[in-house]
This record gives sequence, C-alpha cells and structure tokens, in this order.
Amino acid sequence: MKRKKERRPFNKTRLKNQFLNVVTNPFNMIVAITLIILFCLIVIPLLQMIASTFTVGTRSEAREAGAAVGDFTLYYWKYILTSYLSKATLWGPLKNSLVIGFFTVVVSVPLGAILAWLIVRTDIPGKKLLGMLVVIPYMIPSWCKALSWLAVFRNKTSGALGFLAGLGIPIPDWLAYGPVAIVLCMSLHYYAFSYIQVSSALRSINSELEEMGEICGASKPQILKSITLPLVMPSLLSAVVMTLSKSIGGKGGRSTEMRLGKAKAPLMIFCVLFLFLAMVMPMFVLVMETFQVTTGNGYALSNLTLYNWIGTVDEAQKYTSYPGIFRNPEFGKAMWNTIRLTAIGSILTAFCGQFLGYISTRGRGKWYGSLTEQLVFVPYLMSGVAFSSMYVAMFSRPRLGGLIPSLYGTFALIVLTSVVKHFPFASRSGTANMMQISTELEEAADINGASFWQRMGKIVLPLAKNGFISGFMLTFISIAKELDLIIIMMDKHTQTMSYPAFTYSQEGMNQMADAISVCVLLFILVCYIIANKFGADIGKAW
Amino acid sequence: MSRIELKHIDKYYGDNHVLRDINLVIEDGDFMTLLGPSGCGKTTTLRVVSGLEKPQNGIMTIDGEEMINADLAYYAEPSKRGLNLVFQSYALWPHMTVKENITFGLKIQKLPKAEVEKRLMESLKMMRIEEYIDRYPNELSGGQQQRVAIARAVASNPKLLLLDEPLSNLDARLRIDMRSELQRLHRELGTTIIYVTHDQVEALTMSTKIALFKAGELSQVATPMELYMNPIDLQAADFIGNPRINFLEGTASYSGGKLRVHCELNDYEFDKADMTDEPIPDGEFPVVVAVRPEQVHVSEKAVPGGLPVTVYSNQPAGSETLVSLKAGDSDFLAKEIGLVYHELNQTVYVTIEPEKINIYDAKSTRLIKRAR
Repeated sequence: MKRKKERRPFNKTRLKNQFLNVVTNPFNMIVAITLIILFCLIVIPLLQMIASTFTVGTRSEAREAGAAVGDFTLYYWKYILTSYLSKATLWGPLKNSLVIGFFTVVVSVPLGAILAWLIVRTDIPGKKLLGMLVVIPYMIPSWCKALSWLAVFRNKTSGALGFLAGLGIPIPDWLAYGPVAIVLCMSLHYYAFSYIQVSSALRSINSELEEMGEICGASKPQILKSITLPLVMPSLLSAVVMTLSKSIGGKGGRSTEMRLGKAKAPLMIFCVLFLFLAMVMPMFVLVMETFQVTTGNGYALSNLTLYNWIGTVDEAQKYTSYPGIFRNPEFGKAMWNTIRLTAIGSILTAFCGQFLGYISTRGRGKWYGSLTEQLVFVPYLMSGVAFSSMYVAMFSRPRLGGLIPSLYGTFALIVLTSVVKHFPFASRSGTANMMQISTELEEAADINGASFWQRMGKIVLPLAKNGFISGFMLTFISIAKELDLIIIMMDKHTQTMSYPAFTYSQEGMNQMADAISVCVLLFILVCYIIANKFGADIGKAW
Repeated sequence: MSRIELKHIDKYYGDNHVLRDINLVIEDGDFMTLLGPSGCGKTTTLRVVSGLEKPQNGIMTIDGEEMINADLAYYAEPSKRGLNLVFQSYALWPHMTVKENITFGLKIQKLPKAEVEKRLMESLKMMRIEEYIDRYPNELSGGQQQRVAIARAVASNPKLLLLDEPLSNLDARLRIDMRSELQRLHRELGTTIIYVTHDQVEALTMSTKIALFKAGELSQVATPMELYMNPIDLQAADFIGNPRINFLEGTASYSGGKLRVHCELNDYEFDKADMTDEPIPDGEFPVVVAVRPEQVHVSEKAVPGGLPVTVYSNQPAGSETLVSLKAGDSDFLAKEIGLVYHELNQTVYVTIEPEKINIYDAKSTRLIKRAR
C-alpha cells in the first residue's frame, strides 16, 4: 500500500500540539532568536546602506538640482560610475585593489600551505615550537607590520632613514613604498588563513592514503603532487576566496609523519628564514627604533634614548612637543580600552561563534542552517571601513522606537561592530568545533532525560572547550590589532592603542608609534602564551 | 515490561519515503529483532520508537499509552517513554568516566545517592566491567566500550531496551560471546528488547521474534524458526539462511485440493492443508521450488526414492561439507554434516522430504506451500 503525505483536515488539538512542539523546544526558539538578531545586525544595516546610495543626503550637490533630503536619486551612482572623477574615485582604486588582492593571494596562499604541510605532516625538527612561532607574525597588527617595514626600508624620500638605508644601502622607492611593500606586508598577514585552513584539512587526511602512494612506488614529490595536493585543494581554494567550504569529510585516520630526508635542511632553512623575515627582524627593528633618537642612524649609544617611552617635554632634544608615551595621559586610557575591547569583544564573539556554529551544524541541510551560514558570512565580504560606516549610520540614532538608544560615540558600538565583523571567523571556528561532536552524544543524553540546557551544559560545552579556546584566540588576536574597522568610531574616550599609534605615525613620530606597537604586540603575545597553556592552538581553530 | 504497538507509521525525509505503513506489535518481554539489509528502514523504525525521529503518519502506544499520534502532532519526549537506547557508535561521552557515563541519566532523574550507587554497581557487575569504573571511554577497547554502553542503558531500568546494531563494530569472536550475553541479559532483566541488525545469524540466534524489512516495508514478522522454515516470499527466502536456499524452476497446477508441481528434480503432489492463503492462478503456472541445502540428503548408493544427479564440486570445511549438484540444467547445493568426499562428476542419489519443501508462485513471488 502506498500512501501519500496527506493534508489533514483542521484539528484544534493538532494545531495546539504543533505549536507546543515548536515553542517548547528550546532549540527552535534559539534558532528563531538567532535569525532575528542576525537579520537586525546584518541584513537591515546592509539594506540601509544600499538604500542610502539612492537617497539624497543633507550635504550634497544632488540638492542643487532641486531635490529634497530623503528623495530618491541616482545622483551618487552616476557620480561614481560616469563622472569625470570616477577614474580617480572608482576605477583606479578598484584596479589597485584587484592587483594587490591577486598578488597577495599568489604569495600568501602557497606560503601558508607549505608551512601547514611542514608542521602537520612532516618530521621537521622542533615541530611544537615551530607551530607556536609560525602564527606569531599573524599577531603583529598589519599597521605594525607596515611600520616595521618602513623601519627597515625607509629611504630619503620620507625624510627619516630606515634601518638599511642607515647602513648605507640604497633602497629604491619601489621596494620601500607602494604595491610591492603592500603585497608583501599583506601576505605576511593573510598567510595565516591558508595556514589554518590547510593544516586542518591535512589533519583530516588519513596518512594511509599517502603511505599507499609510497607503497605504489611514488616519490615524495609525486605523492605531494598527486595525492596530498588534490586532497587539500578544496581547502586551498577556499583559502583563496575564503568561502565557507565543506570539509573534505572522513575522520582523521592514522597520522604518520612524512620523512623529509635530504630535504630537511633546506626546508628547515625556509622556516627559519620565514620566521626571521616575518617575525624576528621586524620585531627587532621595531623595538630598537623605539630607543633611537634618529631613526636609521645606527645603534650607537649616542643615538639611544628612553625618551620615546618616558621622556618629558622639557627633555626634548629635537623639534617635538610630545612627551614619551608613558607620560601621555591618553596612553593609560587607550591601553585600558584595548584590553576592555579585546576581552569583552572576543569573549562575546567566541560565544556567538560557537552558538552560530552549533546552529549551522545541527541545521545542516535544513533551511535555517544554510541561512545562518550565509548571513554570518556577509561581514567578511565588506572592508572594515565600509562595515563600520554602515554601523555608524545604522546606530547613530535610536532604533526600534527607542528600544536601542543611539550608540553614536559609545564604547558599546565599537564592541558591537567588532563582534559582528568577526562573526565569519568565529562561526567558522564554531562550526568546525561542533562538527566534532556527534549528534548521537546529544541524543544519548536526550534519551537519558537531559533537557536541552542540560545537554548544552554537560555534553556540548565541555566537549567544545578546546576548540572554543582556539577560536577565542583567533578572534582575540584580530580584535586586539584592529585599526581600520573601528578608527572612524573612536574619540578621546573610546580610543584603543591602534589610534595613538596611527596618529603618532601620521605626525612623523615614528619612534613613539613603534613604542605603542610594541605594547600591543606584547599584550597579544602574553595572552597567546597564556592561552596556549590552556590548549589553544590557532592551527586547530577551524 | 511493556507492549509496543506501531500503527500505520510513515516516515519521510523530504520526498524520500523511508518507512511505509509500518504495523508492528511487540509483546511484553519479546526480544524483537528488526532485520534487513542496510537502508531498509530498520534503524529509522528504532529511532521512531525511541522518539528521536518524528513520523509523519501513524500512532504508537507503549502499554496502551499513546506515545505518538501523528494526526494530533503529539510526540512524547524520548525521556518520557521509559526506554533506553544503545547506539551503534555507542555514543559514550568522551569527557566522562565510565562511572559518570552510567550515572549521568540517574543524576538527571534526581535519584537518591544510594540508589544511584546501587544501580551503578549492579549494571557494572552485570556487564562485568567493575574494574573500569574510573576509566575514560578512549582508554577502553571496543568490546569494553560496548559493555559500558549497555550498562549505561540498563542502569536506567528501562521498560524497553533498544539496541542499534550493537555488535557490528566488534570482531567475530567477541560478537559470538556478546550474543550469548545479550541473550542472558534479556532473560535476567525480563525487559522487552528491540534489536536492529543486518546480520541474520544474530537475528536467528537471539530473538524471540523477527521483523523482516524490505525497502521501508515490513515483509514478515515471525519467530526465527518460522522465518527460516517459511520465508514469506522469494526475497525473504533468499535473504535468510547461509548457505543460500536452492531455487529450482518448475510448473504447477492446482485442482481437486491437490497442488501438483513439476521440476527437473522430481514431481510432487501437496495437500491443501500445507498450502497458504495466497491466491492460486488457474491452470498451469510457473513456480519456484525452494529447498534448504541441509534438506538435500546425498547418498552414493541408489536408495528408494533417490534421484540420480551428478556432483559438480565438493567443499569439505571441517564441520560441514557443501556439495554442488547438477540435475539437468538446474544446479543446487547440498549441505552434509562432517567431512564427506565425493568424486567430481560422480553420480549420487538425493532424497528430499516433500514436507520440507517451499513452493513459491514465480509471478507474485509469494509462498504458496509451507514447509513442516
């Protein structure tokens, strides 16, 4: 007998039960609330921003044509796409972005992938230490990297000499400034993504697959080319576009290290070179520069001073009206704000991320699962500045009839922006983490009478702990070094460390900007080392 | 101690109709095995009973109390059904010790401490895993984990114990040991058990009843003996029994209360009393004659009623010998106890007791003559 899914006649009890089934299940409620929140935090601001491009603003030439504020207009689009300025305001920058993006991918993805392979798969000596060191360049804020790049390569063009120019080595402008410098600095930042992606993919590959290749007589390069590389290809590609990829699946099987043999020494040199260039040298130069009287003038005792850290204005030997950074009344505040923002922001983000990850994994294949996954990814597609200006526009006046007060200029807005902007990483990390926890473990608890909250508290959370810490560290680092995302929101009271560093640098006080960078770096490093003791491993964050 | 009744259960995953109108009664104290190849719906049925899946149609009662009423969208929570489940993967919580795993549910129920302790020790003792009480699951072997999973399920004193292919991850030897232990467990607890497996030996050896699944439908519910002797259709006959049952093509006609069957082996005449209620076609119709290999008796000398056939191959395997035989174009298998050696191409004489033969209608594939 074949029966169809039938529509049943209306029945009151049935309707009541259906309603109760949905409402009394906390999971459904959580999904509903989450979707509503995501909608408010992501979809509405986005629509708002798009709508504003079609609306006449208070301060614009569009009004000259006789339109009132709030009217519909195509003026802005016409202006940006077709006016005589569009070459400078749109096409030029767009071309630059694409070129830089392209070359950054070309450099950073292979770099991260090779490092991941070396550390996960091979018998390279000092793996544990290497694994810990290799992510440190990622912790150096990108503006800090830029500063240290300048500290090394600065030449006459910008006035003060850098480290190499100071040694008398002529540095051409193309190396010191512009596309090459940008691409290399960005690569030293973004290699981390492909490193994380590929190392988690490599961990999930059963090494027997590679060993089988060896038994079949394949050489190591052949194995890499025809077995390992195709298997991690999806992850590599998704590191390129940073889409949320489905993992290759399959449980990580046995993991036998590949013997590097003769290649050990050159590869070891590669790692050391990477660490030297990406970590030791910039940090050394950065730290030393904070003690220099004149940058690029060597490290003779006569050129060393503590002025940049603790000097007072009267001691100033040169044309400066700034005291050392520790005497700057804003310093303590900025430090406190950084700590506050990083701690609150990353804890919130990590929690939300695990939660969103839980919903995405348990809702896999269902509409709400994919919807969550997609919504959460939207912030990644926007640059930090665009995202924060969207948020400023959205929350600069009261919303929901005063339920959400105006957040303009508040610390809360900075936290909120940081949290939502980091949803993509955090929920990615949460998803990876929740995938490890089989639904059967929850079902077993369900049958034993545990309620939804008991299951969360006693089964899911304890099992998610390690992944949580790793995911937490990932967002912690990104928030701590954030500049462009929040710079437009900061004022005297809400500024974080990035802000004074940026202003010092703008005003040519390179040594003081460096000193601030060193403080931020120290803060991140100390937290990282502590988290590492608690089992955080950024390589396992996804 | 409970009687479970499933009525007209339908389950869909999207448009995929995985359970088709399942009707099944499990009597109090039964060891009911849901048997079938993978993907036939047996695990889904188990999950419907447990409450982890909600069927779109149908009613389920436990001891007369409604647990599922799809028409009213009523589904009792898993924990309110008085049952427990042993997962195929065991689903032991890796962050808890054996003790914590077993007492988790009891503590959730807020049982008094003494009672929790008592149940813990009882179930540990029953599964003989007392010495592992403080170990974590990953410090145990597969067989030990299995026992912990069963102990955890038993500790809650379930009225109904559900087991989802619990032996499939164990090695062959351990599987045989566990079979006898599960049988004893059933006896000692007196609990109703629903057991899912694709392994017919497990089903035949342990169950009091077997429900045979085929592509989301129940094809037969019977005692192991009955299922083995009288599979309801050709597919069931083919699935049950190792070595496979012999199928011989033939023709039959029914008149005057007698079923006359002709096949290359012999001609038979069966009485109405041995026939099932299946409709019989008029005139001559094709049938399949089914004979279990162990019902084919081979003799090297001519015996009264013995049919001459040739030996095609001979496979002595210690406790038994499988002999392939040829009669005309049909070949069939005989199973003899102990070591027997026949020459290849030798002529031997086989006898088959007609009452042990099953006859199937070739067209409808249904059983029309039962074995006794």
